[in-house]
Amino acid sequence: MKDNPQWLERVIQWAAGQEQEGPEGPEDPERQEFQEYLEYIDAHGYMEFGAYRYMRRRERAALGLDAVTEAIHNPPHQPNPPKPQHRPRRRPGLLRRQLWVYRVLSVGVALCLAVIFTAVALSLPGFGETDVPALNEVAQRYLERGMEETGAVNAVTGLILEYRAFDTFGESAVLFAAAVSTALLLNAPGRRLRNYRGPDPVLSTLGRSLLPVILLFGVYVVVNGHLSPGGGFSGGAVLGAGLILASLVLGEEEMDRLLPQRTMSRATTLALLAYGLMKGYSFFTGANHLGGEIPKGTPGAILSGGLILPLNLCVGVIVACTMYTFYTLFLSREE
Amino acid sequence: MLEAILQQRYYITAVLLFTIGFVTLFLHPNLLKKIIGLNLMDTAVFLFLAAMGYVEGGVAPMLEEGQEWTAYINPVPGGLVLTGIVVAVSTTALFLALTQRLYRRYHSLNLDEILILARSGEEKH
Repeated sequence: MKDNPQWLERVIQWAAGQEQEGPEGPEDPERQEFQEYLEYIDAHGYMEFGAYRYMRRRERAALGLDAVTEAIHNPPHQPNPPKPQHRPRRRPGLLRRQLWVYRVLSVGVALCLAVIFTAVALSLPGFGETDVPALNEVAQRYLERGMEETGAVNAVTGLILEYRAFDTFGESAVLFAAAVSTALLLNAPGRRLRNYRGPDPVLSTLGRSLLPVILLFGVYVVVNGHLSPGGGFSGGAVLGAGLILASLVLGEEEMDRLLPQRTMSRATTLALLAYGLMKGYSFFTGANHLGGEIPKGTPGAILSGGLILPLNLCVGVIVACTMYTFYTLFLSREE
Repeated sequence: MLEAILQQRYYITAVLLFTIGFVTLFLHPNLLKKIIGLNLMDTAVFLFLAAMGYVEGGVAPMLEEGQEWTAYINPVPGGLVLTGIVVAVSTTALFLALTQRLYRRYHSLNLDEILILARSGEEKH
């Protein structure tokens, strides 16, 4: 019995029913506290446990005994509590069953669509046949009288920039809207800091000789849009690719100095405005060119086709600037 | 039947591409792959339209004096495909920007994970 610690000795004594001290043992603070608690309950007639605990805590704090209690009740505030890694590998049962149904349904819908489309494709007029309903008087008019009415040798350019120039204006506006909304989404405030990537030596050596050719070819395709295959959209895409290559060859810092974002957006807006003004003038001075204000020129010459050449230039500028803007916006940036 | 399929090979290819893109769009949880599926569907539509415009023996519509109009392919689908390409590029850029924003916020490209994280975030706030 002598080897046991004090508390164990007391427990054994308590179990044996022979406690050394009486029920109001003086040297046990916990027991005393419990006694006070019982008296408190007696005095108030009901269990006001919270109030009692509060009173106790204040007393203990006054005595300076409260470090441990404080640590338990108010744990020290961690500035950045670790987020629970919420990466569910397994889903709950209901969601999983719904997902299964969803998968089966989507495959079924896709198969149904495929079957219907294949049946339609097999019953369509044969590929390359000449007496198809798509080759109606509209195509005939564009092909027969396109050259004299628009002055463009390229029938597609004449179609999209003369007969249907308003649609093309809408297309350019769609591109412009996409560029603007992408810039809005990606240029969030607080993300101004950029780390520029320098030019890659291999690419720079190769690209320096390739770059002028690509840019020149882009300009050629834009300017010759009414004479040969191409036009503002394809030439603008070539020019945009050339600008992206220039950014890789010269380095982003140099490119940002030469063609800052502001210049790009200004050029796009100006080109769109110019397109709208030119086409608006053309509509205003006799819709469908009944008055024929703008000289058509000789088909085949570079300065021909009325407004098609300047419209092609505008479209080319819009497309090239938009492509380059997309590239600069999607570059990885320093946070 | 086989002859008909061979005759309409471009349309059948377009249908296959469209279906592949559709299934990719619906079944892949990865947002980037969903965008790729959408682009596949776009491409299928362009292929279909461009094939519709072809005329047997026709050349590109660079007009020449004194040529019959049946010597050229149909220029109308060309213009339509041009419009489609522009819209496809614009929507792709917009989708990619939105995906980047989602990734910045949730650090995941998996749509299911993003939805679960977004839902738990709503409950917290």
